[in-house]
Amino acid sequence: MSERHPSGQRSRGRGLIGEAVIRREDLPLITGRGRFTDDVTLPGMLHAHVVRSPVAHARITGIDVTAASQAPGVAAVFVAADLDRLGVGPLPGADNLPPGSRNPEFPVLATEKVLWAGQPVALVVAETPATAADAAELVDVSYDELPAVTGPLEAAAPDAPVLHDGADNVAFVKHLRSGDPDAAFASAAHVVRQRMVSQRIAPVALEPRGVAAWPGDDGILEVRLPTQRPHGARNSLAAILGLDAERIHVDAGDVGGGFGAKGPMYPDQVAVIAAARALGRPVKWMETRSESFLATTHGRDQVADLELAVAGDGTFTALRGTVHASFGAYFTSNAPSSLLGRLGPMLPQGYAIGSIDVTLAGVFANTTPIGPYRGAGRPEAAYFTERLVDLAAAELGQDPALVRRRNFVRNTDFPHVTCTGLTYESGDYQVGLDLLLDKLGYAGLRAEQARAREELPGETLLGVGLGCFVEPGGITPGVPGPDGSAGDQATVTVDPSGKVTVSVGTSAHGQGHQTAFAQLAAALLDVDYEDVTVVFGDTATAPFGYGTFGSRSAVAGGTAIHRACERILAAAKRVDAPMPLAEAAARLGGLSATAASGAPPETYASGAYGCVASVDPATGRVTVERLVAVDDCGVVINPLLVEGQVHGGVAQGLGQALTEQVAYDSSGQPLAGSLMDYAVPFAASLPPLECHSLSTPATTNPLGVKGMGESGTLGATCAVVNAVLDALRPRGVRHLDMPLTPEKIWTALQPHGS
Amino acid sequence: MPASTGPAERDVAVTVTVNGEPRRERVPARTLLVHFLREQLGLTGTHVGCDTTQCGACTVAMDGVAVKSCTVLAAQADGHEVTTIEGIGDAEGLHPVQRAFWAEHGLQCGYCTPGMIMAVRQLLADNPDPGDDEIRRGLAGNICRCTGYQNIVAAARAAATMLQES
Ligand code: FES
Ligand code: FES
Repeated sequence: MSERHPSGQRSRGRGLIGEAVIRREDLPLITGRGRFTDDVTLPGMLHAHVVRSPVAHARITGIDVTAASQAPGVAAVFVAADLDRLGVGPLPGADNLPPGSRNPEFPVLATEKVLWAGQPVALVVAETPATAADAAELVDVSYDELPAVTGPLEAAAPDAPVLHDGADNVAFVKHLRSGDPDAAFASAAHVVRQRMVSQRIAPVALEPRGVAAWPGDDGILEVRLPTQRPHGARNSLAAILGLDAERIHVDAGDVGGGFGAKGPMYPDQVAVIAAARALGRPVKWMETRSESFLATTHGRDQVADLELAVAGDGTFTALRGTVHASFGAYFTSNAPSSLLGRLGPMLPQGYAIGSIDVTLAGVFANTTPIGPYRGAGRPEAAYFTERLVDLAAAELGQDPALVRRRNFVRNTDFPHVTCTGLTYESGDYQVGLDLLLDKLGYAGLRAEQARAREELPGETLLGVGLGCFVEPGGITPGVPGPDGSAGDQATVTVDPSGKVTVSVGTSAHGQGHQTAFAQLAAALLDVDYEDVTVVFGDTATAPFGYGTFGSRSAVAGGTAIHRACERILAAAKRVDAPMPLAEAAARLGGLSATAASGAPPETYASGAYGCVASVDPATGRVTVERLVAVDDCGVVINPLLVEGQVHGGVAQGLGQALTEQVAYDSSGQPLAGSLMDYAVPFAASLPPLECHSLSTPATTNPLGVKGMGESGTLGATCAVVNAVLDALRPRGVRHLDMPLTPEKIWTALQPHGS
Repeated sequence: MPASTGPAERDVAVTVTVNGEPRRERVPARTLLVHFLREQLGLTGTHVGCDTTQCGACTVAMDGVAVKSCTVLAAQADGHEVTTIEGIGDAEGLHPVQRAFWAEHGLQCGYCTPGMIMAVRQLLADNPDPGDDEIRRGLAGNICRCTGYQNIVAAARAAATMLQES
């Protein structure tokens, strides 16, 4: 139906890799026939409403559910003690913490204390959503309020109110130290210092979270869950409910965006699933958008105090400082990895920096728990470093593009081991930057800017900002699968009629894997694209995998598919003469092979983004005139999908840069409780995006692909902020923290502004 | 006080022509049109993305004009005609706006998509040949968190061309 659809000879074979095939998943979605969790309705279905703490920090002195239990239409009301009786355990906290860390259990329903405004306290189950909500009003909880603390620095202070009794709020401290940072700083010609905040923001997947659960046939617990990790969800549910994982069936169905927030298992979802088991009836719950701002994990929330040592010739020699990261009231499973595995280790970005001495501190505060959010530590690392680089350029009086180029890891120096111990397998940062500068018309822009500054100093301020980054992708958690094999699995089946089914343990929620993986398998097997079906997202039909997050699926899922396809091709050779795969499959009565990805080394995609922004000094208003993206994610399976990922990431990055913030007052009450006061970008917030690419194939996986699902948030955040601050620099503004709202900018431009 | 005695819980009869078919149901007076469509009629293509009339995921047409069905009571639709995403086209015959969203990769997760398509349909009815800026401004009532809007704008433009050629 479009020239983008492969036809004729282009619908098979190697040529399919790199083809802009339009998506096969779209037809149901554009005709209103998707299958999202909220679309599930079953006979006898009950509806749940979560009673949440209205205060940020308090002891619970009493809960009376009598009136609520007796309200019309109410089937049951659950509090913590009821779940205890049902054998429903707490959520386990985080994995992969440094030794000696604190890792409090995360109760499904609050017991003695509530630690954030929004923490689940009780669950009301009733005939309709409205009767459940009405009855929830009747649950009477008495709170003895305690002082609250919300920011990472404040929570780490020695006199801060303590969340988890028995110690302070600092859950862990980890030092990254290598090279000779002391010598580098002692001999530095310049030291650039800055405190920088990556503010708390909300993922806002357009489909809110929810769950539907019911007792199925043969004692199987059926769970419809909008999740990025169906197998992970099943396994954590099994542990929390005390069930065998085999007794639980998790089906993600269509998932309306995740951005990391649909990775963890949440207490409210566990409570609903436990209620469905206890009542022996289907129960559904969907959060409202306002509830989502309290209940769904937020992202970021770090304060960095960092210094960059620069030698006399402009070479970066060392980084040092401290990053305080708040994780909110409790750890969710993989939240600390954002700081420990991403933010800290990625601070060197694409620069050949020899030494580091950085302390990473994770703290608890009376706020919604933090989870991974698009980039999960990557955008923050890129942002902190790219701000320091721009400040260094300004202090040295040199062009920021030049300063970057001088310090990049050279394309001849790959693989490059960073001072934090990561191995970047390939890349060409100079060429990426040059392409960006060319597409931007950088020299011309700088000339225009100089002219404007000279001739019209009071008028609109023009800024040009760069954001260069390295994006790790393809992580495979260190936990082996149920059969002991490492990584995600893929099963490829060729039936005797030649139809191919690829089932895989990664789990897309908007990324287009049905299309991309069908292209991949059709290319590898040399069969027709239309003959390939791709299956994922359902623990009954997909093999084990870690799901989709952290830009991992093309690398891990792709590698597993590649290996399974190789096995199929080897098995097809059992026929006596060379013949097309379909014929061999017919002769052999069908073929099937399963393979695991193993743990392919992570890939390191890179990019160079540029932004042209203007600021109206009279109002502080920013207009983003241009956004230019250059991405290098190695071999591209489907450029349409890759560009789509870039577009979405850029919008989210721009949102963090300019408008988005989850703020709290001093008592821990959230100030942004709905889409009326939390400002996600609209269509008119963005200029047309200009996307370009280059390709240095990954050397560490058989496909040459690099994870790239988060690049837009890395590049856009840096480029937009750097552009705005470049515009403000002649007016004496050195740094402002995001979001760069008109009010903040206007205030900074006033004679006595800060 | 149990809330179930108030007027909002009293049932009212609602007759609405939905996608050309007359439908008659009794629902609690407080039922929103979006819930009427989704729960009473099983038309789950219309989505709920917020509770403050910001996101537009619930956009449908009432008497040919786009409305946010989370902001209309089912009772207010009594006697009116409603068209949902299911009513404008299906696999056998897609509406040009649906075709354009597909061809231009105007969706990722697809959650905003039914509302976006209904909103673009309205936008093109008001302005058959909009420029990019007009499209962007015209979509101020619809949020997409996945696409950065780039390909939604492209889809709107492509649909405008298709509609003008047809
Ligand atoms: S659900 Fe109607 S505008 Fe969001
Ligand atoms: S496609 Fe996901 S919100 Fe628009």
